[in-house]
Amino acid sequence: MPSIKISSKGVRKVYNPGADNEVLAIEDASIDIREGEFVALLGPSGCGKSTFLFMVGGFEEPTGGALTLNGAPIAGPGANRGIVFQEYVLFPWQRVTANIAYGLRIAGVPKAEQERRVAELIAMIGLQGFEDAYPESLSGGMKQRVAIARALAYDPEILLMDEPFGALDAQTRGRMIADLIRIHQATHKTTLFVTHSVEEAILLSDRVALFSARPSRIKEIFEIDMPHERSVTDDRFVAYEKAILESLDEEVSKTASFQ
Amino acid sequence: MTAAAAKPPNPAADILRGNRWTPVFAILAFGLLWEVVVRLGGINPLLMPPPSAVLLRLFEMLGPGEGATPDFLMVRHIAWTLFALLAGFLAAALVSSAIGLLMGINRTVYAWLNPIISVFMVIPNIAFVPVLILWLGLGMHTVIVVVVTGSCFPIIYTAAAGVQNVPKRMIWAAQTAGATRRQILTTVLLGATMPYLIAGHKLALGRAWRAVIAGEIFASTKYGVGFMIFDARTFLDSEAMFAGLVVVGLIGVSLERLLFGFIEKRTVERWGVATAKNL
Repeated sequence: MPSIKISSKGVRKVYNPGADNEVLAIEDASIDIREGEFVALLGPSGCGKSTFLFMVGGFEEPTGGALTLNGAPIAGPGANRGIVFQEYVLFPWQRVTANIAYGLRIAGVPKAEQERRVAELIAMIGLQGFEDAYPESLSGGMKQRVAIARALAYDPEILLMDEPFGALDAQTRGRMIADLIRIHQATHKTTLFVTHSVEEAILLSDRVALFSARPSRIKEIFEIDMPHERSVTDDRFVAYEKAILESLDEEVSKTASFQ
Repeated sequence: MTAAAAKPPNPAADILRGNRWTPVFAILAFGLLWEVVVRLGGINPLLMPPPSAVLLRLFEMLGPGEGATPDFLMVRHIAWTLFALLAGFLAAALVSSAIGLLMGINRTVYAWLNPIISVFMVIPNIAFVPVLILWLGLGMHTVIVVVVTGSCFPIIYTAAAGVQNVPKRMIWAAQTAGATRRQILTTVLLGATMPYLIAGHKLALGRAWRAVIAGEIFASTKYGVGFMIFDARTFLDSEAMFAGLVVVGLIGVSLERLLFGFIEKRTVERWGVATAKNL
């Protein structure tokens, strides 16, 4: 049994506590994430799934509960995590190679080692021939590949992904999902993947953590017990999709009735 | 493509509609109109010399001198002006970038400097000149200070705005990769602010050019294109005055085009950041 990488026990997040515009974003997020596991954080919009991801990233602090990484409370961002955003957030003034090498460069890794590692990652994400391009000239899918490579370059323990395929067209997304599965199988990074797509969650994850509507809890955790490559037409896939969608629908209708 | 190829090429119509050659023809048309109006309108050439006379005078002043006119007089004036411009602009660039970046990084610095700078910024630069002459006397050093006061504000504000507009997630990405505060400053903030800095410097160079000419009119004693224009008035040498204006216009336009066209092609255009081009 792999060890627990991230442990979240009764984690709460309140914005502007005590003020008029106080918002209880997360009431109770409890989940243990094992080393090497791929966990999708799924839920209606505004449910705090990204907030949870940013707390694991160390950018936001929990208001209550215990959130630990390797058994220690998370004290801020650090190089044991890598992050990928929906909007890519590459450094536009740097070429593809320099973007990918960023973490290695600031850590003072020797040039030759940087180059070796970057070449390896370029091959992994299939961007040979685009090493010297600026992000501006790349398509959305290519930019996101570079962002993933940048996050993996310094070999973090955990990969945090915030709706990384949300801005991509359906075809590109399909290819990216297949590639991410391949990358995960090759690197075994513990991965937290925020998404609002049930299909994405089932195709990718070992487990799907379903967030309820605000004030949110982790309502249900689905263990996806299917080998890769998974197919959306597989009976088991359809059964998981039905179960998750039913649970999600309850939440979406709750949010709707609030408005 | 095929439809266009079928039509006979008509360069005159293209120029009329506006293509890369239109600016040349527009300037030529303006000159021609000026020439015709002066010659046929019976306008006193002492007040308004025709462009042909102005250009002749300009070439005369660019070349070896005759009689009272020293050799290469206009070249000396231009050299003097460009030197004052560059000295003032470089000083402003260094100091203002530092102040602006600091204002962008530190909220307290911004809160205290912003009101003061806001007041200074609405004062027309030329209004500082009498005070500067009182303090510093006449001469190139005063003109250089006029250039600094004339060009520092756009740089300060765009640098501050640049830092403030760095996407939060770009900093998060760097922090997650293990960047320290200092590394974020040198590897992220500077790069992300660069389009703003370029836009600010472009704007500032235009201001600096206006400032150096205006400053010379009041504070220069011997050289400078601005001084020359003002000085020629004393001798009713309107051809030289207009020649000076032509020089000011031509150099002003080329400074921006040559210098910043080059820089923008290698930076913001490659990065796909539009900020600097829009200002």
